[in-house]
Amino acid sequence: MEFDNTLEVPLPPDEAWKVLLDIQRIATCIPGAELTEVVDAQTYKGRVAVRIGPVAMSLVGQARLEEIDSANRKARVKAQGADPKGRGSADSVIEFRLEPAGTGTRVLIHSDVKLAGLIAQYGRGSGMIESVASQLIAQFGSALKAQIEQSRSRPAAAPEANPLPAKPVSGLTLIARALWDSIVRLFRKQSPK
Amino acid sequence: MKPAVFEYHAPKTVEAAVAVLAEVAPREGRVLAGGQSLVPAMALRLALPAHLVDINGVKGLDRLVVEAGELAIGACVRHAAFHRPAAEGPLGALLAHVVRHIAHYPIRTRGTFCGSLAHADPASEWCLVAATLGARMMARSVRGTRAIAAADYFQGPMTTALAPDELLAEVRLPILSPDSRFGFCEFSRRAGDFAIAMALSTFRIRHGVMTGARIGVGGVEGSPRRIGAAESMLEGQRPSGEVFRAAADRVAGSVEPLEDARYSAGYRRDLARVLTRRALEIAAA
Amino acid sequence: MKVGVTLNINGKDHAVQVEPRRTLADAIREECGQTGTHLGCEHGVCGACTILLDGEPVRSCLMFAVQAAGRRIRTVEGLADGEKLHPLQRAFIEHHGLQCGYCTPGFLMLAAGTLERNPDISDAELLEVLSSNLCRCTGYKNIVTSVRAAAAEMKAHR
Repeated sequence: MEFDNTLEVPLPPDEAWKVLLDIQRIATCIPGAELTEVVDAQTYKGRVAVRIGPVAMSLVGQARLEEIDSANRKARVKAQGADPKGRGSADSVIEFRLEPAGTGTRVLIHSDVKLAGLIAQYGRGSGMIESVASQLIAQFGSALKAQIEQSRSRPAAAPEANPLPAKPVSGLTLIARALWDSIVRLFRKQSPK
Repeated sequence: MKPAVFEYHAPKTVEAAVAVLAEVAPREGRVLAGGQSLVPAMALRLALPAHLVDINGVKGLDRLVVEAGELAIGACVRHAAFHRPAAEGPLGALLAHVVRHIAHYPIRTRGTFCGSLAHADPASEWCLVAATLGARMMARSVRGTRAIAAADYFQGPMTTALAPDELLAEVRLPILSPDSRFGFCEFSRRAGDFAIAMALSTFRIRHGVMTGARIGVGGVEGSPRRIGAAESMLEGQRPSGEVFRAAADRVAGSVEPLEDARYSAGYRRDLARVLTRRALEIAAA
Repeated sequence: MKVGVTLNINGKDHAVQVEPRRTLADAIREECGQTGTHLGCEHGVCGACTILLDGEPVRSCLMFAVQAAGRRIRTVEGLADGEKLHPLQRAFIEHHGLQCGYCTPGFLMLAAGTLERNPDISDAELLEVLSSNLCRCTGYKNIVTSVRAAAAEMKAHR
């Protein structure tokens, strides 16, 4: 299933690109995620805890950067995650790019997600994935915006803990989470440090 | 197809129930009311609660009474309780009409109104009713009771504003004025199936024109909601096919439909249009 | 960790030890030995497990045995009066309302509960109620015919 999302970042594209590379900041915008292994420059292993209603899963998976184009600020990531309890898995390809939007940046995300196993068959989740992904991306975007605004008002301060209330990771789709984790981790590797 | 092990709690009072819930919610504890949504998920082992707090034995949760201009529906009130009008006038008739669309009779003998609201499936009929009529959700916890307005309550598929340790103890629906009209239309492939889309409309007719219109759509997006832009198109207008078609088009243009393997977004959008128009026509008839 | 619960089935008490996760359907069949209640889908879709709980049709695979303490459970074994078959059972035989028989107990209890509460049920409503349960063999027509016939007989003998 394919779907599109957009995200607004209140920074010009070059800065937005760098911010998204700042894994410390990004990680605080995504509660419940955990990077467990850096396999190589393009490949990350991790775990993410997600929930849709009474169904809570810890998805274990891997994200691999397939393509990155710093000049045009676009990239493609392949991510797979599976439930260790055998309730299913997800396979996804995410393409995203940054483009200028006024004084800020628009992040355009195109996702292609395949669910397999129990969650695909019985979860009725497939119809909700897109809706939940949009929710997640919006939540991530708000958290990121808040952090950016906070560091603007106190430019000398080091990145802090997420100022937003610790909202539980509710209604976050397994796919979208795995996707975002993979995106930010590959950004980290591209950080010009 | 057998549920996994869990610890079972059967409190007898609301105070005891929320106390247990406060303890077990952080450790995958959930409320068990009708169980018609939760237990299937447990049977399939999609849901693996470590604790269940069975509220069926809690005193006072089966209240179904009109008070202060609202119909108060307690957490243990079954869907079947609405087969006969639970309130006089249009509200009771509306609920009795909608309830027949919920699953099947043997599920309605156990499933609860509040349970549907707490579960917040996009295809839930009661959720559409609550969103359209502007229900108040009474969330109870060890911290006390708070009222959550419908506009703030639904946050996405299976996602509500309830904290994990909050029990949805009661839902309060505003009583409709005696001259209110309603129209409800749902589409699914077979009787008893989850709704692919549904629409609910209420309005009054004063001096020949519509007023106080509410139009809600459910099953189309992650949560049910009112489409204000379409509602304002009805205000002050005489009921007519033209006005209804225009409002229905507005609804179709406003929604961002779910897409899945079986039903495309375009299909749901189309259903939203048709069902809205039909609901309006039914209300005006 | 098992707990004790007493299940009253067809007027008889069964004191059993079950885990809280034991469904009512499983407890009726295993601990209480009443295997007339069948397991079809075990997740509330097919209705083969339908029993009457205080007179109301309920899917016993969606309840836990511990929840049924102090309630009156009626299963298909309780329909006949000794050797005398219930009008529904006779009607299903006469009107060929069953083939493999797997869904039959669920339909019988659904129909019994419905007709007892609503003996004057309309055709449309009866169809709506009977559409609660699944049958793979009969194509439903003879089930409807059987229930209608039984309804007439039950009314005549009220």
